[in-house]
Amino acid sequence: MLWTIARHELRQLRRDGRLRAAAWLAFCLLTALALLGWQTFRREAHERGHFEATAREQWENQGEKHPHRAAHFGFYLTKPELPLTFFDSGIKPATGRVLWLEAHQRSVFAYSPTEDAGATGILGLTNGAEVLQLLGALLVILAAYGSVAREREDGTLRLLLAQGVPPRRWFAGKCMGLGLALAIVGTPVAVGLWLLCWRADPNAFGIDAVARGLALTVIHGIFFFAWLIGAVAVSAWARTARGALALLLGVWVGGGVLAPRLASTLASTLAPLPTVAAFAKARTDDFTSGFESEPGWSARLAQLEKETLAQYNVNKLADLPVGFSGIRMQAMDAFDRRISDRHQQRLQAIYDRQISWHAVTAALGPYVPMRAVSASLAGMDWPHYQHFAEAAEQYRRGVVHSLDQLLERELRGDKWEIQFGSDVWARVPPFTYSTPTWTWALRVTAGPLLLVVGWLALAATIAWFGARRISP
Amino acid sequence: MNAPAFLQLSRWEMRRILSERTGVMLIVLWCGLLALAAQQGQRHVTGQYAEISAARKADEAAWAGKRARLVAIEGGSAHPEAFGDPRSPTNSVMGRSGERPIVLVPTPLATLSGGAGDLAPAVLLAGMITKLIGPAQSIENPANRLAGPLDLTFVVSALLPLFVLALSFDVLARERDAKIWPLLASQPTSLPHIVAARLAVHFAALWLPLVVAVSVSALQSHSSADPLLPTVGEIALWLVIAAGYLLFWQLLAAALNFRAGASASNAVSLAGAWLAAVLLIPSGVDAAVQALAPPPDRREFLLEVRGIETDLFKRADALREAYDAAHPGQRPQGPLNEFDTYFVENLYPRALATDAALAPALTRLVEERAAQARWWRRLAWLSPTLAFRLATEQLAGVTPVQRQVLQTRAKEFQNEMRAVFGAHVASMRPLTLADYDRTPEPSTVRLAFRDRFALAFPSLLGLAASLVAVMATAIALARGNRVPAPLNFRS
Repeated sequence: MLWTIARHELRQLRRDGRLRAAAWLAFCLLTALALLGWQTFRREAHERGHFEATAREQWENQGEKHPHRAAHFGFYLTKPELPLTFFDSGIKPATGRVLWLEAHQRSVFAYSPTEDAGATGILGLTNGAEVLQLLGALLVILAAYGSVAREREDGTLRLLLAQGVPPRRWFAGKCMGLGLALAIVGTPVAVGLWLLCWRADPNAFGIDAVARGLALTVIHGIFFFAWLIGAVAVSAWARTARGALALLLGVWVGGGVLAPRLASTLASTLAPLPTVAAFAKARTDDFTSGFESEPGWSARLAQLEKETLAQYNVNKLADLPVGFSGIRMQAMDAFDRRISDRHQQRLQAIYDRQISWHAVTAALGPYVPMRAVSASLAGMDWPHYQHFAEAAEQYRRGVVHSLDQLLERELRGDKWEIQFGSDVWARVPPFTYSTPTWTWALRVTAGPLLLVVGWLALAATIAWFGARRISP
Repeated sequence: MNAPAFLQLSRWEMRRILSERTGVMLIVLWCGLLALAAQQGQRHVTGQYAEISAARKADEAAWAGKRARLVAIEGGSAHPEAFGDPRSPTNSVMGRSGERPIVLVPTPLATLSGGAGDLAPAVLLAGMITKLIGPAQSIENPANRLAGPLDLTFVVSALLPLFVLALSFDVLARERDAKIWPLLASQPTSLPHIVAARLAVHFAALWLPLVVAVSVSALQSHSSADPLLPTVGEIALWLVIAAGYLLFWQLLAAALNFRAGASASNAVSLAGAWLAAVLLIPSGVDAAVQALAPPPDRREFLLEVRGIETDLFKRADALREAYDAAHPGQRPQGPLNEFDTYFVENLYPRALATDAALAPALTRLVEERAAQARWWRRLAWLSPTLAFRLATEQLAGVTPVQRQVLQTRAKEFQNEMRAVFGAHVASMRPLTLADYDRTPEPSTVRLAFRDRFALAFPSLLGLAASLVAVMATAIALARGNRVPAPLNFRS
């Protein structure tokens, strides 16, 4: 019986011309954006490789100069991208494309695509994941809003119930039919995306990429299933198909269009970040005046001079058998690192609170948490960017420290000027980075993942009670 | 139709909306969204003013402090510190401590459109050797920036059509659904007049709260130092544009209702139009603009910059000689310490040469951004939503191309600083009180309304054309043969 009901539902969907047109439109848009994303991914992978190789070459051939000036010349790094980026570019449009590592400064991502967007910033759909999640959910709503309510309006529900069809089984048959329709539309889409993912970068298509892709497929399945049974449940509760459609569209607009902006508004209002100027000033104040009862830099420098003179048993810095400027730079960087870490922790705490506020808007619909999970599995969310930035920061510290040590070793007394050439710059090891594994991605996005599953549970609960109260 | 009849019809429509829970909820929701967006805009602009004020205060305190120390040293009551001697050009005007804030004052409409404002700073520091090619420093969580601000422009451009849809999708079709058209048609008032009266009520319900939200938000952020009248004028213009946009969606709803479809069909058609105008067409335009005018390749630009910097670093001696030849008599008179020697022999002449060498690359960057903006302007008329957004953002002065003016002004200021202190830096001649008093004052940049309006004009024209087109369609459908016979009074 279940199969008969499902088949009937499938037939009805097939006959609905508007739905067919909407499905084709969404499919074409998804294909176009996925292909565009795929092409962009391949072009950018090539450009990234060229950029990093040239930047390294420029580092090694920067000419003879003081190591500290070389440290200020710095390095440029770009975050590597997984093949799934072609499907979900995550926060990439709003995040800088390069990190500049230089002396004294914890680097931040610079030159985001939106800075050069030329007009209204982000409006419309920018990648395949957005199309799939936003328009896919709309398609599910259009397919399911009338599944029960229309039968009620047409009077066929009364006939069905009179024939002794158990309401829950009938409801399950409806869901099965719609689920099958969804699977028929979704399977070629998923296969196509998998193929594009593989072709985007066959070398990077390893176990981790496959696991991320599988997790992404499963979570999309959960997301659409939540919409599907939620829509059928609303259709069962609503008196009219029009009422069901209005409610579902309201949830779709609230969760898909309004919630993302509301999330950032809530986050920036209730967990505000300091301005760049205020943040820089706080760091400078700590450096100058000290923190937590510790002295500031001037006092530290005086103490360092005293200790160094005592260590080498000389009266003047000029008599030191080592380069004091190297010792001073190392001490300055060590102090600066502590200040930087301290303020970075403060920032991180604010970021965490902001992400919690993002989660609050999941009350409006599963779209916001779904975006977070999808971007995370594609390796393009904020935690992935931060992971990369932290690795780059450790690398920067190591390089700057080695250059400061060079000053200490090669200089004498309180001299500052000294020059080194390409052989020294070439000895600096290149930056290597491994993207975190898919389990790490799932761990950092556990909250949003649970919220998506929570929406499925809520939809299932409404459906359970909705199926019980099906009446003509 | 006379005025009392129109008012009577309007009163009935108002009573109908207020008697339905959905209608009341919609209006409450609309007011809530407007209040939130207005508060956000006000917060954003207040934050910008606070940033500007803090930068100015810090700058004034720093320069006053340096000047006071100089007075104390010259008076013999203080001794110069190693890296804090106010007479030393390297300590006082060359490094970060010599940078001064160039300020871009928010326009009166900045509260209504966040745009790219959060990406571009309100304050830019410029000094003798400041690299003005770098991006704005940001510690913002990009996940927040990605969605964009919940400003009044977003609420009006993206959400207002949905409220029109909810209120007006059955502005005439409800009688058709209830099968009381013949009754309505037998009344002495014509159907277009009935529709007009009903839409007027919907218009008032949506527009009047917008007037309040926009006025409160913009006026509360208004700086007391600026004249009030131009601000009021700009607010009025913004409200007129919003009214035009609202009217566009209402007329579309009316046209669909005159087409004799059922209310459910009208709702689906309006939802489809919204989807196309708000999501699909902007996506297509975005893709087209990227293809027609690719964004500047920042990575290539960076490589070019580094290539130039490396080359000039290697030719530092030749650059110094060229500088000396162009500026005779500026060689230092006495011996210099290591730091000052580096500034004189290498850093300053190289900074000047770097600026000159980078100028073509920077010009290219600006031109590429301008080309992108041009294509957006050309294609914005394809969607009234896009046209509205672009026009209001340009009027608010928050598009990246408009904010380029801050960088231009910063460059001009840098040149002024170099004109005053260049000789001091080249010769390491100590600074005097007279030099401090000659320091150029950092400027304040304002985007003139005339320029903003000129930029927004094509988009406004596009919006007006959409409005005229939909109005003509609605009138044609109201008068034409497509209205079923019982309601077509001309037949």
